[in-house]
Amino acid sequence: MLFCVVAYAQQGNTESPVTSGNAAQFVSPISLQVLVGSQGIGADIKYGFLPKLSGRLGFGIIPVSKNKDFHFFGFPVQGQFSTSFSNVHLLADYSPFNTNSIRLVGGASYITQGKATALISPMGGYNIGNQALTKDQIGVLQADVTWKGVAPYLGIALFKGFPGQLLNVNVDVGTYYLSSPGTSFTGTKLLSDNDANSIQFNKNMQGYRWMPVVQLNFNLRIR
Amino acid sequence: MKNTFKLHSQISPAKQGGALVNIFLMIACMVLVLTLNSCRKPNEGIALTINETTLTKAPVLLRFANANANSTNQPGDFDVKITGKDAALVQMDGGSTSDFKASHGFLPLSLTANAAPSASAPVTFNISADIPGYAPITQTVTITQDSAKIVDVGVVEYANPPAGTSVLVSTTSLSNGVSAGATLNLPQRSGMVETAQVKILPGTQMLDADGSAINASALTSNIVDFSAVSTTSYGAFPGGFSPTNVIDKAGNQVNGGNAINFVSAGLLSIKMSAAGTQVRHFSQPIQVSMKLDPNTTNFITGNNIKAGDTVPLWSLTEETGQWKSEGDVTIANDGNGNLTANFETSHLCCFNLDWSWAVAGHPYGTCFTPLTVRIHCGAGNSGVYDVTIVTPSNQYLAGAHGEFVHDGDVVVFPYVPSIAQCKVVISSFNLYLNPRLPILAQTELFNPCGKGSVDLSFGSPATPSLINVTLNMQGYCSNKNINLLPSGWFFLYDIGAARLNQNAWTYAYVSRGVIQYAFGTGITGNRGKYSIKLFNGDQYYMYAYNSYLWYQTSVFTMAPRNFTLPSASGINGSAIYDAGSNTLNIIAKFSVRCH
Repeated sequence: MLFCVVAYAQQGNTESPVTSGNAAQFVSPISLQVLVGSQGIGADIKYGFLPKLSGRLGFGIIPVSKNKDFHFFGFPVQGQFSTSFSNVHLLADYSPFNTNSIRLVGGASYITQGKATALISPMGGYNIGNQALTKDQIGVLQADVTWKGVAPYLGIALFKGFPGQLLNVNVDVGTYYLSSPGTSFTGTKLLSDNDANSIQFNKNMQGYRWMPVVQLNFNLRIR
Repeated sequence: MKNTFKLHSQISPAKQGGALVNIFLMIACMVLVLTLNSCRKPNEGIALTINETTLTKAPVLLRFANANANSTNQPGDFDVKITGKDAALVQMDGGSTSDFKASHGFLPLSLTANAAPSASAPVTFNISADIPGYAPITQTVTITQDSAKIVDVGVVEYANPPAGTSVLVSTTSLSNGVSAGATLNLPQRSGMVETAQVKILPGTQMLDADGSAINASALTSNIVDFSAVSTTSYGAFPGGFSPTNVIDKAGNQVNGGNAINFVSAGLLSIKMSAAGTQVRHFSQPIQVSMKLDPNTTNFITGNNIKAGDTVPLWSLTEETGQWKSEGDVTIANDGNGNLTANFETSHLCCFNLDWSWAVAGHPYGTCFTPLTVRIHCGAGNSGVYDVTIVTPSNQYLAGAHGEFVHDGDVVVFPYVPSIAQCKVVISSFNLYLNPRLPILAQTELFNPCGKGSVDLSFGSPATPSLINVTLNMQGYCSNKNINLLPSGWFFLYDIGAARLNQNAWTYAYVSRGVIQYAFGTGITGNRGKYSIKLFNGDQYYMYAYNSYLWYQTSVFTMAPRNFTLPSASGINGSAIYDAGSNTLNIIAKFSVRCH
């Protein structure tokens, strides 16, 4: 909410080179953006080719891991989730309107690394039948999902693409369409017989190709 | 197209912008909706499989059966004690290290995951049980490797001892653990030549396993004499016929820890207790005289024993499962025409007169000349039987158990015992080692080392009507979405076969769905899907032991029809018959509660 107030305030107080009218007077703006959002953190450099068309080249990385206790197959477990995502992206912003506060964004990323891992381990001992099993006897389940290659991107960008003065903040909302993921589903010790589940897990993960992006861009104008 | 153009042309630029904004917002919303709704849950359709077999090693199934197959009484459910130096390593298979219980005469045991049995460091433990009406059971189990094993324990019922055994239970007085002298005579059993006499000399002090004196006023003796030539006594022989833990008189291992095969001339089990303590030693030797059956085949000569023949004597130490050579005994004539083996001993319990031969390790007494047995029983006839090589006096030598005998069937023994004469017999498929009377067909006597092949005609056994059965067996947690590949012991009991005094049990040890050991009717398959041929019209019930719990179906009749598998205790399922392939597809599940 606070962000929206700031963004609209900036929009109102800045002057857009795109709306300045004469294309002959157009000076291609250049800015440096720091990206923070659902695809992690990153940066790109943005160049205005035309009043309604700009391009950006940059990268993004997600180095996130999180522990969470939950129930898995009805058993209390501890999950250790980690995501490692990095991309190099090349995007184009096009403003179809008189205002460039709303832009259509398209392009692609090259996913240099895309991996999500879930390590699921028991929180304590369990009983199967009359057999008491300790946490150490049970073992750990590991589910890995990997994406690689080129991922097209489509989205919209809100608020001005280039700051009128030095700095503004704008927003990207969109999604990458990732390549079909590779998966593995393995277990140790008592859970080591789950190879057959790899096929089902892979099937389940095939729908996970839309990678949503909701991102704040802190935009520093260089020229 | 025109209408569309007009429509667009009629919209003001400001309104055009508003419409496009709406379109873009719709696209964005669609993307988000796709993102949120296009995916399945990652664990959808996944049933977790838990492999319990890593918790156990060396599964061993003890099968307790009445040594008298004609008795209607069988050991059922009873408590069992596990003792001995490695008792702490023993558990109910996959379960508890206490509360050992046999059920239906079966005791499924295994070693705990931290056990490391090997030939140089065998795991040895003792099993004892006191079943009312039966002679006390003591069985030593020695495990030298991590593989499935079955130990048959024949139990002598006092009221119906098996033919070929003679039982004496007596109590004599002691004074502070010292005997005033006693002569214990085993009764002459009808149809059995063998008897035995144990003489305790006056002044003999009873000693326990550590050699300490026992202070008691009474001595209880349980003595069983086992005939060497009665096939019905073989199943009750303590210690089995293929021991691996054998030492010579000097204490050196015989045959490097590899099995040797005993060919018995008689066995005497002497168990004594005083004031609740096992008597294991005596302050002075007791005198033992075993009267032998003159129709016992001398393995060395191939002829009946006679006075002057020698036969090795072995003693069993139950704590270690170790047989020790006690030297040779010379067979004597007692002056009344009886052949006797006389010896003295200052320790107990089991004394076996055995010749021996070995195949593995340092072979001796063996011919590595294959013997091919061709069976003729008439076209279309078949059945499951034991095909066994025995001495002329029916002492067990080697066998193919559970052979599917049919016309033209060929049984090949890759090696044979080196004995001057033997014969091949067909008998009912029954106990694990011994051929069981009546012998249904037999060859003439021949020398197995030079024979090469032999023909055996076997009347015309009735052709059974068989149904091909595929058995899909799966365990599951009743309260979780977790499947368990079948692990543990699985049993199938054929009531029809039992009524005919034939082998009724088929059992298999399954690890992670893979059959590690099977006995009985041939069964194949893996990962919970198995194939077996069963008798059309026979009644069966199924039985499983998993995670320290027993599961059982009710009795069902094998028939070419669809039916529901009736559950008695945790196993249920259904059977679908396919007439084209004469196959009954049984899907059976056993339910385990997981928490």
